Amino acid sequence: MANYDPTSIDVMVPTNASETNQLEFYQGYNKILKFHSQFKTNAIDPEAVFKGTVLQKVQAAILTRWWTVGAAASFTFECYLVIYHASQSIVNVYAATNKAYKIASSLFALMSDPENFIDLCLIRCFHKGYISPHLDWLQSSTDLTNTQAFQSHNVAVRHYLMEYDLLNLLSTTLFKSYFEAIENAGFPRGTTDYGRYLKKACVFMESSLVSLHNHFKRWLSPLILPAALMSESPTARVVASLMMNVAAPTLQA
Amino acid sequence: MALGDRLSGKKTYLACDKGNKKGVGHFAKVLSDWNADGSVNLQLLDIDAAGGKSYQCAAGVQASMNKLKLNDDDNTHLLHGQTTDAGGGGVTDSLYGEMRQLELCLDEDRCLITTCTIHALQLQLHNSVCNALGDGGLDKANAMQLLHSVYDLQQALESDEWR
Repeated sequence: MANYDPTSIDVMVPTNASETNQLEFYQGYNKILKFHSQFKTNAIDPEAVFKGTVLQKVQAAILTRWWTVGAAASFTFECYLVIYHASQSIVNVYAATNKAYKIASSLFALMSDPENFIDLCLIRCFHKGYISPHLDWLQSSTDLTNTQAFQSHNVAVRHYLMEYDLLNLLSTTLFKSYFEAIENAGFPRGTTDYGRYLKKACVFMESSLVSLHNHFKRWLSPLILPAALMSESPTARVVASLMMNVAAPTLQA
Repeated sequence: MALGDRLSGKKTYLACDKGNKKGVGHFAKVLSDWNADGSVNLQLLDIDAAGGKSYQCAAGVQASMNKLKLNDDDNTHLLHGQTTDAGGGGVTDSLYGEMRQLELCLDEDRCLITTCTIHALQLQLHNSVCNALGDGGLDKANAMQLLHSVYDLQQALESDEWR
């Protein structure tokens, strides 16, 4: 895969069914190759550590812990070419009645559909740009309490940062990857299909924003917000002014 | 007994979550309180089973909290707040209402009720995917089913063969 030349099919002249099938696969592979420029294609040392390589196993998408879905999407994106190739290999090796054959066969079809790939990119970008950094902070901060979690005094500010990220995520450098996937699939900027994918991304962000407001508004309630008085001084002063019903401090002050 | 003594009269908070591993229900309850030196005390109370409804969860909390008291009716271990995940039974205001009826916690003006932020963050991804892209399923042909299929394929093979 690391040394694959996409132009090799130009000189292929199949003389039997096996070679015809091989040519068809290469044509399909070339199509997938154009989906994105960030696929991992480097050669792997099987003796080295598996973690971070295509030899690592994919994280199961557990629907009670949705960060796993984001992690699985990130891994699948990076190893898309390898998994696509593996699916074809399994179809070639196993009998049609075998479980692995049935899964590989349907996976092959799913991976060939550019719409699925573009949606996968959307999940990946959202995970890397939003879920992962905020989850990391929530799980690692020990401010004030010297204990992970127990960050009630910082959640009001975190809520603001999360909302800011959601409103600006589509225009970040990270999301160029998503728009590249749309354009590479043959939907250039300005076309109806490009607009459809843009709208899908907006619905995605809006749903997340609604969910954020639904689940974090409690932290801004009169009963819980005073916890932010133990946050950093500028935040504490804003909350204090709210509680005392006086003008909020200015940036200069 | 030692834990009951230490927590008697202290401002104690409860974090709880209902689990169901291999068909066996677990209701994990963790107590926390604030130390004078500025740190947090954490104590797993128990993971005794409870039903899925709020009143059943409240009864479970009551049984667990009673272990800390000398007499079941003592008000020496009133909860000052609770944290749960969101959705389903035995969470947030619904659980508070049932616990209040059992006199396990303070009145609503003093009892701090919050939801788990880690769970809430992940719900955002859940809601976005389900609303914009659709959820997975064997009869579906979408990105979620693609992810499930990659994992299923990997599981259908031996590790060495996959690699």
